[in-house]
Amino acid sequence: MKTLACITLAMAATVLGHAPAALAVEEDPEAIAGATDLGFYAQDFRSQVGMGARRAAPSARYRSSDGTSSYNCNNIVAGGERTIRYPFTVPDSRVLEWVRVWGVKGASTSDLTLSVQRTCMSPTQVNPTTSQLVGTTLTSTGGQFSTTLFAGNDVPDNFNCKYWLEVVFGSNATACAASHVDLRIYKMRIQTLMPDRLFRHGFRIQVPG
Amino acid sequence: MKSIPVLGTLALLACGNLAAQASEPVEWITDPAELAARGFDPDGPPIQRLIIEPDTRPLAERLAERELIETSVDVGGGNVRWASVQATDFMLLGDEAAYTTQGNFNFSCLAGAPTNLFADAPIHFRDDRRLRFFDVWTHDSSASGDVEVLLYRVCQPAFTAEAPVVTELASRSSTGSGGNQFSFVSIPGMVHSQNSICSYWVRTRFPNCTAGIDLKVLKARVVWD
Amino acid sequence: MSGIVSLTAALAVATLSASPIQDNGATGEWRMHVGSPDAQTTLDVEFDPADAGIAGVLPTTGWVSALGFEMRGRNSTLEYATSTAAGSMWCLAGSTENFADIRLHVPHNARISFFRMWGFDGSADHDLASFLFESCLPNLSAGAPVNTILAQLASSGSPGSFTEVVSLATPQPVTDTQDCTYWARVRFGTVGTTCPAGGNLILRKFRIQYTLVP
Repeated sequence: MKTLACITLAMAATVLGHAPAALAVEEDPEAIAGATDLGFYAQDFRSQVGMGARRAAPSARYRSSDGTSSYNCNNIVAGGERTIRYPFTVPDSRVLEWVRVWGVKGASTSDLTLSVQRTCMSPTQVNPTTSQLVGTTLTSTGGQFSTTLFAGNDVPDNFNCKYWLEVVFGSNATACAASHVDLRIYKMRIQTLMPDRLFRHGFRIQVPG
Repeated sequence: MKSIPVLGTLALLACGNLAAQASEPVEWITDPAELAARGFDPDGPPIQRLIIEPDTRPLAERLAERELIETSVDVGGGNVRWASVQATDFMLLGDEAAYTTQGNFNFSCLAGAPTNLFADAPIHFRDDRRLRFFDVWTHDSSASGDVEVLLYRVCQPAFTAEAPVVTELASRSSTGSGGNQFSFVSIPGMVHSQNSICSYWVRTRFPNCTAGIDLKVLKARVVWD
Repeated sequence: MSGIVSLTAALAVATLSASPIQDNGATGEWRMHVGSPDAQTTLDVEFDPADAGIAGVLPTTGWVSALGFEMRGRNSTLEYATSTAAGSMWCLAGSTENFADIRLHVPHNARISFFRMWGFDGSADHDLASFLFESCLPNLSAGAPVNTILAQLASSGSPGSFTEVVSLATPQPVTDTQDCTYWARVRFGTVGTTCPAGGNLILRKFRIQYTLVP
């Protein structure tokens, strides 16, 4: 099964559109074009533009001026909160495969730390347990990037748990960028898989994502 | 069926064209003033806009058509054909700007230093659905201007980095100052949701923020087939 | 006219605080709730998917949740902080705005059965209150929003970390996403005051449970 095969192959991130060969097994459009891999029929995509961000604090300064609804880090001096989050839900009967992020990381910008987090809390618990499923740090400064994180085919537990993508624009010791146009999040996208097609449109399709 | 959007995606990728599907009547917005009026960088790349032919039929006739289309829905959302945004779904395009929902789940910008006239709210559709209508509820009791609500799409290649391509799919504006208003527009052509390559959002555009709660966006909704 | 807040359903809902006897997460959780004054006392069940054997495969029951940090201020004047480790949000001392809202993307045509919040209350003189709202507009015509409180919860005393749940009164509301949206709201502290000091009121999570309408 393609998805399982990719587990061992694709922990690396693609940056600037140059996908490592291993990753191509998972996401190569050419492979999809063959239309012989029925696994793709079970995959769904859900995305949100950068302005869907939840800021960790009001001191996370931002602009969105280029019209793409991107979230542009505007902490152009030291200080201020640097974390934003994109919460999302994986419908039951699906598994979380990939989270992909598009953006701009220009010259002299802070490192961009991306991670997929999951927090769980049962009704008998009052303190949550938060786990990082996958994380990566982008250090490149080449401009537009597209990077992906493999979430390990995590099986959702919507009764107890919730996911989010966490984005950290460097540290507050320095400016995140010289200008807000230099460090942007265009959008994020989750890719989920229905492991068994027999269940498609069967169980739990009512769970929104 | 996933095959259609997949093949559509591949076709777009092959052509290097994320701009529009063949059946979408579009025009380019290149005038810096028009770009700026929509919250875009006036010196930035142009954006597309769907060309919407005015529907001159009486409103009653158009509404009757809508109601005819709206058949019963399945439990749980299998046949749900709409998505909406409202209130704090919106986020002003600058962190220093001020807003209020009045606690009543509407959205207005407030005067302050500095203001921002634009706010965005992501909206998600089921994949491979033809987008049909854009519904907008507003409250306008301001004589100083109208509030506009627009639907946008931004597309990028499914798996690589590339400049995003933005298309304005629909827009509605309040009129006059008569209070609560509803209006809708048909989305022309065959605009299908393509969740692998595109994201969607609703943008509000206030003429100013001095009107405060005299101009409110109450809700926006997209209906698909 | 600004929206109308209807308290009809809210006033029909009452909650009993959790007790070890009632709260048995291993076998499903039982909560007693009192409906309208004339209604009979009823029992309802907040399902644990573990009861179904295969996690998540319960054809008629589902949940929608939101973490504390997903909320946004009712107004832009909310001063707040958040935590990654706890998924939480709290209001900063002195903030003149002490309400925050979050949209809950419930499915259409589902019966809302439970509303639960998790949080932290370390304040002896302030509590954390939450509300589940339905906000409706006419389908294809103009109108004022009609906002209805479907359920409400509050902490009491200073229990520290806590969870509270309410079983919605019969008849439980059925969602209509064509005309309505659904929101959870938290109030940090007392109405009309600034947020209390010390980060002693923290919202960690909301969750609603629903069942599909046949």
